[in-house]
Order: sequence, then C-alpha cells, then structure tokens
Amino acid sequence: MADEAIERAVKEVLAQIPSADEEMVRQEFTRYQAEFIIPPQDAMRSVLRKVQTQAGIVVAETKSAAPSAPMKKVERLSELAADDKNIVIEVKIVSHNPVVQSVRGQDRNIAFGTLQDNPWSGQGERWDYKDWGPSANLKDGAIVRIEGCTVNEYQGKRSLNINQSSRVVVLQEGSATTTNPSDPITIAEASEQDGMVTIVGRLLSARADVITRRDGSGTIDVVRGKIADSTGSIGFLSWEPFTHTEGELLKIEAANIRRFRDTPELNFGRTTKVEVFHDTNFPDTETLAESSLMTISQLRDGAKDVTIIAQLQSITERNFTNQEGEEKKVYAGQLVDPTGQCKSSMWCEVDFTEEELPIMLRLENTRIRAWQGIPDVTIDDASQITRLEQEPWGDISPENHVVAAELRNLADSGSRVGIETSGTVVSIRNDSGIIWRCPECRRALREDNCQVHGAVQGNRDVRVRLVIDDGHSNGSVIIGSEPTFAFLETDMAGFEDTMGELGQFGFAQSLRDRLLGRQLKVGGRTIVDEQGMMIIANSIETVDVDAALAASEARTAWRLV
Amino acid sequence: MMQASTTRARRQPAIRLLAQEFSESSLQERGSGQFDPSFVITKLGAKVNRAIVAGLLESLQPRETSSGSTMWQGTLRDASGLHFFSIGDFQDDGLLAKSEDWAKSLADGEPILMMMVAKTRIFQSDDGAVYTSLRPEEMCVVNRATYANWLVEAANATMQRVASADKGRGLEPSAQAFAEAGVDADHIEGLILARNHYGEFDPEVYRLTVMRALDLAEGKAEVAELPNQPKITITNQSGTESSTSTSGKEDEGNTASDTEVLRATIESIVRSADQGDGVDLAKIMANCQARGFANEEADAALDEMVSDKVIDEYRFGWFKIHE
Repeated sequence: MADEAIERAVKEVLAQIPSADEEMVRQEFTRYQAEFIIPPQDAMRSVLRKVQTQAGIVVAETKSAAPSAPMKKVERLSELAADDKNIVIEVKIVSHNPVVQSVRGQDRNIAFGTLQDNPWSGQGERWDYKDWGPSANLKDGAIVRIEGCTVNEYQGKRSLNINQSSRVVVLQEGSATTTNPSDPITIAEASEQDGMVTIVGRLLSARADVITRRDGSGTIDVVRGKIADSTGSIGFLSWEPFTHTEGELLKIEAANIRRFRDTPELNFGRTTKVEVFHDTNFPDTETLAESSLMTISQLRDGAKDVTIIAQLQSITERNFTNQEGEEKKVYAGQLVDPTGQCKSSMWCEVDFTEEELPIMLRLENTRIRAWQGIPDVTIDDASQITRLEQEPWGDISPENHVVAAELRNLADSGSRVGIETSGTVVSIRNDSGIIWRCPECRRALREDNCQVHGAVQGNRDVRVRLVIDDGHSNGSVIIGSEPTFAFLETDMAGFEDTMGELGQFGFAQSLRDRLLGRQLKVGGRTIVDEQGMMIIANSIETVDVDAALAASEARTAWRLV
Repeated sequence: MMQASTTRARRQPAIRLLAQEFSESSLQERGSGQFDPSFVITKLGAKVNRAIVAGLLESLQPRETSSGSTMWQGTLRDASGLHFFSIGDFQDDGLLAKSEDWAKSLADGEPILMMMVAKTRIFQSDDGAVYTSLRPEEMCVVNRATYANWLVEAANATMQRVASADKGRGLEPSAQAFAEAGVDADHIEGLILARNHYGEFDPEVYRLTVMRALDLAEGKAEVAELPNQPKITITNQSGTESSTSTSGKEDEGNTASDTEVLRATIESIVRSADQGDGVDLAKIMANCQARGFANEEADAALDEMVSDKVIDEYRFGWFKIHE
C-alpha cells in the first residue's frame, strides 16, 4: 500500500535526521505522491533537503572546476607534434593490410597501411598507420574519423597508432560497397536518388518539345515523356533523338536524375543507353497508366504529365492583358478529392458553367505549379479535360473539407491544403506576440525595415510561432491573430494588456507553461520544402489525453503485466 | 552512382526517452559537414539530437565558469533515473532568469515538476570515460497530468525501440538484415551503430523501468523500487546529527544536498563507464572533477558508497556497482 511506502520513507528520514517533524515529513511525501505522482523513493532527496534546511543545515555550494581538456582535434596531419596523444582526425584509408604479429610472445591480429588527411578534397598528406584494434571499420577507400589515436615517431618518421581504445567512425564507406550504376533499380528508388541510375520501365507517353536557349542563341529539339513501372512513374527529358513509341518496354542505362522544384526527372544524354527490353510479366500500359493516377495529396510542385480525377467546386473567369499586350483569359477553379483540395488554372475554353458545379473531371497530362505551397493543376488545352458522368463525391465543400492526417505523413508529402493534424508542442518561439508588417507586402519587419521595401511604417499584427513534434517529424506552426485570439479567448485590446504586463519573453513563457509537452490539434495548410514543414494554422486547440487510460493501453499493447 | 545526400537544415525531432536509457549512453555520432547535427546513440538505438524529458527538479545550482559568467547545473529525476543538465549564458536570458526563480522555489522546499526540450551531449574526459548531459532549449513547470502523459509517450517510444532491438537480436548488424527482420525503418541506422558500439545486451531492464513509468502514469500508489538504486544517506562532517538550528554555521563544505548530487554523479559515472571490468579510481576522480567536485570530496563520497554497499571495490582501485 501507498501508506506503507510513505511510512518506510518517513522512518528513513527520521533515522537520518531525528530532529525532523514527523508529521511534516509525512505530509511532504504524501504531497509528492498525490500531486506530482512522485513516489516516496524518488522524492527522498527532495524531502531530505527540505528537512535539512529546516533543521538548519546550511546548504553551501561547491566550487567549480574548469572542465577537463577535450581531445586534440586536428584537420591536417602536419598539425601534429611527435608526442601528441588522444587525437581526433578525419582521414581516408588508402590501404589496409591485416596481419598477425607476435607481440611479447603472443600472436595478435593487427593491421597496417597508409592513410591520407584532407579526405574530402583529394590531395592530402599521407602517413603510415598501425591499427592495434584492429577495427572492422577500417577498409580500403573508407573515409573515417579516428578518435583517440597517438603519434609515433621512429627514426624521424612519424606515423599514427590507432589504439585498442580508439574509436573509428565511418563517415563514408569504402568503394567496395557502392552499388553498380548499371544494375536496374525501381522507379520509386530512382526518384529518391540523385545522379546516374538505370531503370526498366514502360513508355507511357512521349512528345517532341523545343527548348529555347536562355541566351537567345537558338532552340534545342528534345523529347519529353513519362515512363512507369509497378512502383511508380517518372517524367523524362531526352536531349538526344528518341524514337520509341508509347507502350514499349525499355531498359534505360545511365540516365541522370535531376530535380525541377520538388519533382525528379530522368535526363537522357549522350552516354545514356536506351534499348528495348523483354519481360512478358511486366505490367501493361493500361495498368500502369491507372496506377499513375494521382490524388491531390500526392501533387508536387513542378510535376508534369499528371493525371488526376477530382471534383470541380467553383470556377471564376479572369481576363487580363499580358506583357505583350495580348488579351488573355483563364478560368481559376477549385478542386477537391477525398485527400484534400487545390487550385486549377485552365488556359482554354471550358464546356461547363458555374451553375452546373460541382462536377467530376478527369484532367490528363497536366502540369503542377505551386504558389505558396498550394498546388495548381495547370491545363493548356481543352482536350486534357474529360467530364465524367460519375456522381460527384457529394457535399465536400472547401470550408468543411478538412482531411485529418498524421504529422509524419504530412512532413513526408508535398504541400497540402485543408488538413488537420496533431503533435506535442516542443517549442514556443520567443518572437511570438506583436509584430509589424510591411504595408506593401505583409512581410514581418526587422527593426522597422522590410527586406524588400526598406524603412517603412509597419502595420501591427499578432502572430504566434511554435513547433509540434511526434518524435519522428515536426512542423513549425504559424498562428495568425484570429486563431491566436480565439485560442487565448481575448481580443486585440486584451492581448496588448497581456503583452504589456508580461513582455515578449514573459508572454512566450506563459504559452510554454500552458502548452509545452501538451498535445495540440492544428488545422490549416502546410508548406513543405527542403527546410521542413510549415503549418499555417487557422485553428488550434489542446487535446486532453487521459494518461491513466493511455498507460493501460500501452501496458496491453506491449504485454507489460 | 551513389552520392552523399545534400545537407538539409531540417529541425531534428524531439525523442521521448527516460533518463535511464539516456544516461547509459556513451556513443556520440556526428556527420562530416560543419553544420551536421550530432547525436547521442542509446543502447536501444535511439539517435537523439534533441530530447523531450520531464520529471522532478531535484537540484538547480549556479556555478561560476572560468570565464566569470554564471551557469546553472541541475538534475531532473524521472521514473527511471536522473538527468544532468546545464544552462549556460549562451542560452536565452529569460531561461537564466527563470532558473533563478526555480532555484529559489527549490530552496524553499517547493516541489517542481519540470518539462524540458533539450539538446543532448556527451562529455568525454581525458581517459575516455563518458557521461551524458542535457542543454535545455525550453523549460517550463508542468502539472501531474502533463507529466503523466509524457511518461506514457516515453514508455511507448522506449518499447518501440525495445521491440526493434528484440527483432535485431542475434542478427548480423546490417541494414538489410534488420529490415528483413522487420525492424522499424526509423531505428535501423541507430541500432546498427548501437550494436557495433555496445554489443548485445538484454533489454529486460528497460521493460522494468517502463512498467514503473506506467504505474506512475496510472496513478498507482505503490510502485516498484528501481533496480540498483543507491541508498540515500546524508553525511555530516562531525558524524553527529545537528539538532539545533544554530549549529548550521559550523557545517561547511561537505553539505548534504551537494553530497547527494555527488553520490548520484559517482554512481552514474561508474554505471556508464563500466565496460565489464569496473572503473578505476583515476577515472572516477577525473570525471567528478570535470563536473565541479573537488577530489577530496569525491574520494570521501566514494569511500562512503563503498561502505554503504552501493559500490564495490572489487579489487584495489577498481570499482563496480554493487549487485
């Protein structure tokens, strides 16, 4: 029973400090247990300290000492002296020869060889080394960080001793482990890589295109298209003549993966080998084409030849004059599907009217562009649009069409609109609170200066920045004035009072006291780029979790009984 | 052609982990680039650049650094053990000011449950002994509900790692072998590093501490003792208990609360530096000194811990945790 544990703890304190007030000690332990779920065993030190303080034992502070000297870290071998020990250095292993050597009458496995400093940029000084470990991480061609090695000088020649206690960290594997670029990999794997790859895939589309040189010196004939296997599809750009027809199965050797915005693309150049491949089991064109149908959640900025089925919610006609003085017309539409929502720009006439909406459309071979992270399905020609007879998905309205998604899935996908997710608050930025925005472009000012428009008289705004995290991924959440006021149940006047009272850090700390470590549900849209994910929130709300219930669930899930 | 992936300035996730798992770590991993993050690799293969931890603030004291500025050193106790952390003047002024408030509350005997998000680090002394520490980015006082929720999150995260470690046991430590055995893709890299550094071990002890964490989160009144906990005793220079409040002035130097921190420090040093053959006296002393304890103090504390049977001197000058 709890009381027993507490009584044991009380006894222990009294045994050590007989003058302690027994009832006070008991109350302390009870309080730790009840209010803070700290069991008596764990509260012992804290309670003892309090009792001691009350009993008048002065709690003094020990003197500090300077921290011990760290290892000697050097970039180049030339920086080392003959008696240096405990060295940290990054080197490339030029050669590595394991041998058995007799040391004081015992056979021991050691290794020797040559290493070279400045491992990342080719030329470097070379020294011999002896590895007393011997470490399994030392291999020909590997780049390693050696921690705790020693300089050895013998007859004027210096070498490195890698000791048994030294640590060898592999920074780059030796050449033996790299994959052969002429072995085919799947398109899914190729999409994650950079550089040369070899793939086998079926040609889904190919069309001639012309690239105009930027310097105006002429044009280049190219072929663009799309190729697919069972793991996915990828666009390609051939700089060389390309005469294969749709449906052919091809092996493409030594193509180069390049990235346009977020989208990988295969580039065929002079060294690329394209040949017809035979595999009767390879999926046919139809299967591949259907499987390359995308959902809104999968759209990436810069993608080409995207086919998508979505529901058109609304459409607006816009007329404008472009820089060349031509009259242009574009229909701006809003698309939704069960995975999210996005925009569409149709640079062509359409055969439906606003009154008919919502309708289902199949949009083929479209280009995806994104503005502020919101994908836009761009259509250049009416032939790309097919109106489907199928019933619309129903009352998906952009206002209430919110798709719940796991934080980690959002972080690993493209930018999304109309999402809701949750995570643990792990950071409140200290710059949360009142900010000043440029009246021209709404950028936040830094010391009354706009990045673009220089010194300006700013407009006041309120913004809170925080980070939510699920242990795997995280997102930086930006909360504008409206959702901030809604969450804090205040208005501008009330907020100003709070800020005046607490100050910038005080306000951030008050949010921390309220939110750090708590689950937060966030609704809004995401912008994902190489720096990570940003969530522009239009609503936030804390989620209360029943810890006792969650603990029981965990116990069951992990069979801890 | 394989190419090194481009460096990305993505924020590192906050790993949920209990003090026991973190404090037993002795491996640090850093990328080759100048701005690459560094990670502490735990025995269970967690790659921890940033951690979210919580517990009872057990001590928080200012120390003068060699540059003359103040840094705060503290300890945080969770359901499994103790974290050491330090807050330096390179950190937020606000955090330093709050530290002063918290230290004051602590001195008044106020219990403080604290949550912190912190960067992890490992210190290594000249002779190669290592110990772990946290550098808080953000801290706040939390209530028991938030602490309980964190305990459950940390318990789940720990068990996910235990499950991965179980799947990888006995296998060749390669990405392919681990992936085929169904090890969570998030854990593979860390587990391989951990296996190469720590070797095979039995994760049963983590199950026990996770159960203790869940007991507390469920609000159970009676919980198990932690394994291998030192008995807490206070020492007085005179050897007698001070019974009047006026006798306080005569006590100096060897103070009670610092002694406790020192004893916990020694224990964690011995625990983490012991690779099977125990830890020698010089190593313990060097580590204590690096943490700001004088040699005489540390020597005396070690003697007591040996006589209290917390630590065994199993041969002359070599120490092990008493089992």
